[in-house]
Amino acid sequence: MLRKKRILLGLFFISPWLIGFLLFTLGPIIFSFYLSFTDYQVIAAPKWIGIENYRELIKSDPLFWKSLYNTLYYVAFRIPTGILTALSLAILLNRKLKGVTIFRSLFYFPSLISGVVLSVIWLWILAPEFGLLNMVLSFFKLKGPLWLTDPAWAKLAFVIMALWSVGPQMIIFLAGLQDIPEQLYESAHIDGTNWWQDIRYITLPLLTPSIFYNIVVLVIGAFQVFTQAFIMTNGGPVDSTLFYVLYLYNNGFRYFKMGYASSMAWILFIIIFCLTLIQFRFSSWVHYER
Amino acid sequence: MNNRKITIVNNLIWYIIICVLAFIFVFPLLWIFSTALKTRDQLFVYPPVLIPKPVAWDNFKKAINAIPFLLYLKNTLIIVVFSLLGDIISSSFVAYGFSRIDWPGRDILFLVLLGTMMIPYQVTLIPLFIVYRMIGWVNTFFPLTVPSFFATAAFHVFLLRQFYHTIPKDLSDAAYIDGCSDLRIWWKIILPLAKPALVTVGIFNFINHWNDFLGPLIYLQEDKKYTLAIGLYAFRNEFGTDWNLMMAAAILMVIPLVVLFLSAQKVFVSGITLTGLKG
Amino acid sequence: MKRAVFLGISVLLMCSILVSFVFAKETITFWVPATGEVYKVYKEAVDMFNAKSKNFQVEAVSIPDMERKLLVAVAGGAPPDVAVHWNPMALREWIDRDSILPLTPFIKEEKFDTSKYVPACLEQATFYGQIWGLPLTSSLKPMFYWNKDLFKEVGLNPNLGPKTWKDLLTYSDKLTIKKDGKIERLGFTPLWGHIANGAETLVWFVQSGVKPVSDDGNKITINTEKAVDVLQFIADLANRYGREAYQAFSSQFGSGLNDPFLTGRLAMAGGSTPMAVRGVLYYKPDFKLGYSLMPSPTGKELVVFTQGSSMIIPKGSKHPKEAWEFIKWYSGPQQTHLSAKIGYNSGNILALRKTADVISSKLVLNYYKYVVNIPQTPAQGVFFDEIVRARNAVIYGQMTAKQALDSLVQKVQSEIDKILASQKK
Repeated sequence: MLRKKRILLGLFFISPWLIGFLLFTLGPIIFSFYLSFTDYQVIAAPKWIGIENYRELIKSDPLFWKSLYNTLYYVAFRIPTGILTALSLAILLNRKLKGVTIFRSLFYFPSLISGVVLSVIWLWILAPEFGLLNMVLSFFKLKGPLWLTDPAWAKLAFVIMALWSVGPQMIIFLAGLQDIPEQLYESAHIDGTNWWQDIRYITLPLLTPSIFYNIVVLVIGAFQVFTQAFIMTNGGPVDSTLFYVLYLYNNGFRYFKMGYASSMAWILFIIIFCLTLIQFRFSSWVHYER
Repeated sequence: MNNRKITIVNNLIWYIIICVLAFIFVFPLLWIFSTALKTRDQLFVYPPVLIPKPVAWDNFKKAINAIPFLLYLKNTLIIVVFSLLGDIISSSFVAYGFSRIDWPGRDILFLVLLGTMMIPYQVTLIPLFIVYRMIGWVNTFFPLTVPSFFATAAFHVFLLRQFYHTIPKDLSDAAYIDGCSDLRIWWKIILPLAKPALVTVGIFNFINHWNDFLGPLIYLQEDKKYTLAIGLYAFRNEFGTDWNLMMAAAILMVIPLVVLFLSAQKVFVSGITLTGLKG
Repeated sequence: MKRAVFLGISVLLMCSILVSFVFAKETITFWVPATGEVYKVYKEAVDMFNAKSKNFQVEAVSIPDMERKLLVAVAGGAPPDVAVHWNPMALREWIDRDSILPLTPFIKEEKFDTSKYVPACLEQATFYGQIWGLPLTSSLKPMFYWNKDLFKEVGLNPNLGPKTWKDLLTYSDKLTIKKDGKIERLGFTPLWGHIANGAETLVWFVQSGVKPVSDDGNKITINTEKAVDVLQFIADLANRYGREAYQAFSSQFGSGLNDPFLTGRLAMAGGSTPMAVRGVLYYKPDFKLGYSLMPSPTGKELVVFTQGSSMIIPKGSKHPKEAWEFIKWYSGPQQTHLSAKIGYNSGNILALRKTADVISSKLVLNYYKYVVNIPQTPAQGVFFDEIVRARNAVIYGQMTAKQALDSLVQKVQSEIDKILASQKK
């Protein structure tokens, strides 16, 4: 086929995406960038104010820093716990025993539940006196904290809640585990290794691409924590669960300071972008097999 | 001989561990279900009661009546069905262009598509809202369905493209020789072969739109246009501390997912691996 | 022959469609900030209007979470023709943003008599010399309620509520039951009921003679020494029986039939006039309800706010004349549905008198002369949020009362200054 014809044909087929990309992605991104330099309160037209929004966010908005801190705190706890849980479960479930698929489904299922439903369910599980979690703790003679109504524990409550949605990460790890050839383990066993050495010297190194992928994806996701905070605590108590995206939403859709909120969105974008770049830069620990 | 015994013991230990973990994992769901069937006075007792006496099955009826459940269900289904249609058609169409035709610039644009998956939605949230408001789409279902027709679900395009790669080129070549246009090839050959991948995409799409909260929250104004997700949120605001009713409402929202999940388990647990994503 | 019949029928069809368009009554949209049962009552009243309306019909649309959406609709140029504004203590923000139409021209033109409306409510909708809404409901907040049976149980006179702040503490201590560090019954808390809202929290301050805002509403003056004492009082009252104990206790609070006041777990509460009906007697018609104004520092400062709603015409309404006709009727004495059926006491004195057998109406008739209207700032939303934030900061021991109020003033004042500056241009 003629080269020109192929280009036209290719463009024809991807045209829906191309149009959509311009309309729903690129256009809005540019518009949002512009808005971040304006004072736009919905009622009147946007008014150019240069870097005023950014300056105000960084210099005189304590809630900006509080919300950023809250999100970073959450991310810091979420990543290790999330990865460890998913990894452990995946290793455990990487067997050809009967019924293993049922168990895999079981652990995957909670991740399908919507944010709203999760919020409602966990509100009850985390209830201070009669919630499931504290009842179980009291069974072991421990007094559980007030979770969502205690500023010191509220964020951790969200981390615990997120562990239930371990499904997608677990599946990625499973797929990665299944790529590791059996022979490696077999030859190691000839030399007499135990399961921990298996994991340390074979599994983990060969799993690094999956670990890396999960970390990158998990970081991006954790930075966007919103729905559960919006529904369960609305940022409370005393702003201890005012996560960055929740504060962004409040500024944009509750106080109608849309220029201000756009600046917040761009700062978020830059942070995520930089973090992702950093992760890629320092990814020499990832072994790619090929 | 000894080896076999060790293996059996090992397996047994494994089963025990995994059962305990699974139990811990699933217990919250059982607890929720149990709560949904309790009368209010059974909620705040210690030690806790797992099997409620009496079993309040009418909690479900009360939950359905407390909010216009069927109306919300209808709205949710409308949105879900339309976006499903748009997604499957446009994603499979666009993926064809990214995989079955070899043209210069294709791979760069594909990288752009992959790149869009990394953009946080908050960046486009406000401008999209402003534009939709300008064209009068606020308080309609359009913002929640129309984008699906433009292959905005980049991940699905990615999935399908990977799948298409596994279809032998010879099939297309033979069709070319017979004088088929690419459009026909896409419709008559590729699509039927891609059924499993399409089902996967469809299921992911269904779940995303069924669960979508932020979209309806921002774009739907009238109560009669609300979806189940918003309905549950409104329910929480009004009956927030009627835990038994709330859990009943939550369970009602999860049931379709359970049904879907049970009938298409394999899709989830292996759907992602279709793509060699871990690499 | 068949063709002729077909043609004839289609012509007839087209004619009837045309006719229906021409003769169809104009329909205006009316946004109602309610769903479910409450919405039905609104609709009933609308149906009554439609039955007797000759020139146009009104379509009542249920819009939950309305304030947010109304603003967006006005900004987008597609607002409803008429709406209920449910946040009268923030009406100024709307007027400043040029989002509603003044009603004074209509009133002047028809020499419409506004004397029958509860004066304080009408005053709340009056700015810059113009009237911007007609009062629909006149909810008084906070009202002080108590459970007479519980009073009797602990030996208090059931017909005499606490009058001073000291009384409030004594009564509350008598009524509170605490065992093993757990609260089983609570006398009073400033954190439940309408008294817990940012706007109503200001009552504590106004009672003490604090002036929260300057007369023109543009300066926040709530960080005086007296105000610091008041905030400390509120926080101490909230923590009186232990903060954690209260939180554990309050996590079991239900709603509706199971709310703590109805179930006797909370003996006294700061609520609203509609609460007497919708919150109490609707669920327990035989509940012995005691009521008065909120206890004040010396018992002599009788203060209450009004937080009813008003009918407004959004800017961009396509049928302002019809909207005005509808507003006149809907806020008038004939529309007694809201008061009679759901206790949303009317803003119209004649309507109140007609429904005086409903306790919420009786309460308004008794107490509306004590209403104080604080001047409105251009940033009420932020102001009320910050009050709650400041109160919570002190309750959780994160800031002293002085720090909390200073921080509040600084934040809200800077918001106000920004808004004023942008309005000048």
